[in-house]
Amino acid sequence: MQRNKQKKGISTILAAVFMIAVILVGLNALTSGLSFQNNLGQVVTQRNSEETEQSSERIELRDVSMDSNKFNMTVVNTGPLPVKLVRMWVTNTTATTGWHKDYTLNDVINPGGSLTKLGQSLSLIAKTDISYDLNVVTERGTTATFKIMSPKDTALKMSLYATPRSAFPGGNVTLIFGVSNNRTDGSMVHSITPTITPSYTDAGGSKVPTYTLIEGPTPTTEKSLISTETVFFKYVYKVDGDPKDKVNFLLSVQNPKPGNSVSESVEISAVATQQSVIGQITTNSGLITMNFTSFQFCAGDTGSPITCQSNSANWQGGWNADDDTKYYWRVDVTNNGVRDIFLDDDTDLFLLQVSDGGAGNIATDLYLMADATTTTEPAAYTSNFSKSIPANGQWTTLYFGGSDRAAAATQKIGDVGLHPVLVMFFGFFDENDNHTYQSGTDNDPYSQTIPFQAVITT
Amino acid sequence: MDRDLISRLEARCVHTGSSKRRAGFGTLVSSLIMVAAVGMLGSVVLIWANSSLNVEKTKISDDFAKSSNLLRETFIVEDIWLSKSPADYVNITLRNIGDISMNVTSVNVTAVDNNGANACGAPCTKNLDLGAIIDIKQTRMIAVGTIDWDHANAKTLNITITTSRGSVEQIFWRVS
Repeated sequence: MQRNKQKKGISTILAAVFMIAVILVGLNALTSGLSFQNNLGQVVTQRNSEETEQSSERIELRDVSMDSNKFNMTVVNTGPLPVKLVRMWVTNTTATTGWHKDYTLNDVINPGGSLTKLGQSLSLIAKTDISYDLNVVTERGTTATFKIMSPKDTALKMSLYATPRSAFPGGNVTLIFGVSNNRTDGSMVHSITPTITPSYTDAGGSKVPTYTLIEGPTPTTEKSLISTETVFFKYVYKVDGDPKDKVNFLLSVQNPKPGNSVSESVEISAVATQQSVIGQITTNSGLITMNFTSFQFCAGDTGSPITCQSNSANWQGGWNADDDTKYYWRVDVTNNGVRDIFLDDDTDLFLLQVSDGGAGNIATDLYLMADATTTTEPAAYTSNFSKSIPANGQWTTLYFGGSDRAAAATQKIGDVGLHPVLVMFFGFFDENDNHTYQSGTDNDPYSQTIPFQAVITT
Repeated sequence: MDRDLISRLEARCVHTGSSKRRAGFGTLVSSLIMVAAVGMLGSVVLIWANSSLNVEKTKISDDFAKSSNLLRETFIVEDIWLSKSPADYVNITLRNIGDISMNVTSVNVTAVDNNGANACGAPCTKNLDLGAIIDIKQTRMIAVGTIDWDHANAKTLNITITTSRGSVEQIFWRVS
């Protein structure tokens, strides 16, 4: 009995030893398998993470200029992760045989941050008449391609506006020259510097047409234009000559693509300097034009609680007014002549009632008043000839409403109905061209009547 | 009687004790032999199993390592330069953006037409067998050589890059 028990004990121990060994081997296999799987999982996760990070990288070229024959670029990181620029490939796309070079970068841009002056420290020499392809490579492997075009390699959209197109001798002409980057491939155009070539067409007469640059170009240059962006350059020229002479302006940019330019002509027109001519002009057309849309009125009188200062919101447009209300009136006028016109206090709005089904035939003079300002209302025009309409297409606002010449009080129109209006101008030319009225010297008179849209009173 | 009985019993007792001693020894020996045999066989099986497991583990480990390294191996075609001077020359620059070195074993470049077919036969294709090692985060320019990429029918370069780990990158690069 005792021996049997001993034999059973040895078998159990033996079985247990083998069992433990088998379990150990199994655990080893299981641990190894899990370990491999874990390692592979980590690699897959890391790879996915890297791909996600790479796909979220965003860099954009915001600005390009060339300073000291080197690129000066601004690159913006619009993605959520910091990016490190490690390489820039530059291709000269203007050269027929090509030119290709790489430059090592070591610049980190934080999310939302920008890197300025990229290119200033590179050995690359940038030229304004060459187009470039730039490929910027990040450490994660993202490649951003920027195309920077020279005006030489792309036909830019150009537009030119000359105002006035018909100028008086000695008058100023303003030129607005627009240049647009009309490329649709996202290319940026660099080094936009306007050029102007004036010329003239002499139609005969005593004078040879001339043109003198007074101002411009403003701005002098534009470093770069992104896609669809437009820049406007302004020139002011003084032109002179005989009637029918023309001054031609040909505008383009430096290093343009052949044929990429735009032109405009300005014709010299007759000017009223002689009394007879002035008389003719004032009868038929006149030097003064009026901007009808600027016509406004404001209920007010001396001591009125309603303010009619120049910037007051109480000024209202339209044509319908109250016949029983005292108003100030104002309208913008332009002097298209070459001399200022000093206004006499006879100048007024002359209203004629046409009909209201009965009485009618009432005339009302609303005389010129002194200018309102942002702090004062229109006042009496007591200083005769103090108000002038400046020459050369400049405009000014005239205030009316006085019940008499040099009166501070306004008056009602006084009757209901339709009122055609005549704006009657009286005054003298600025003979001395010194913008100051000089009695006895500025004695060349001017007058003009402009029929006006009706005022309806109710 | 008592003496007689006692002597018989003594004789039986003597006979019986000798037989039992013989039977216990045999059992012990046989048990030992069985234990030894089982132990030896078990050990052999255990050693074999462990050894086999280790061999398999090594194989699996290698496979996992290859798969892992293949996954970790990442590169981009950073630049392709189609040169006109020298004429029809092609350079390809690769950047290793993975975290493991890589060995580019072959680069095949073919100029293809709009249908994807070789545009001009032998002048339009180049197969390079290389051993170009690219370290981590480094670049390497591979001079592919002359290919008639500006042939009238050539529209695209079909570029296939293979590494020693089996990564295959195929890209198309427009040439016209």
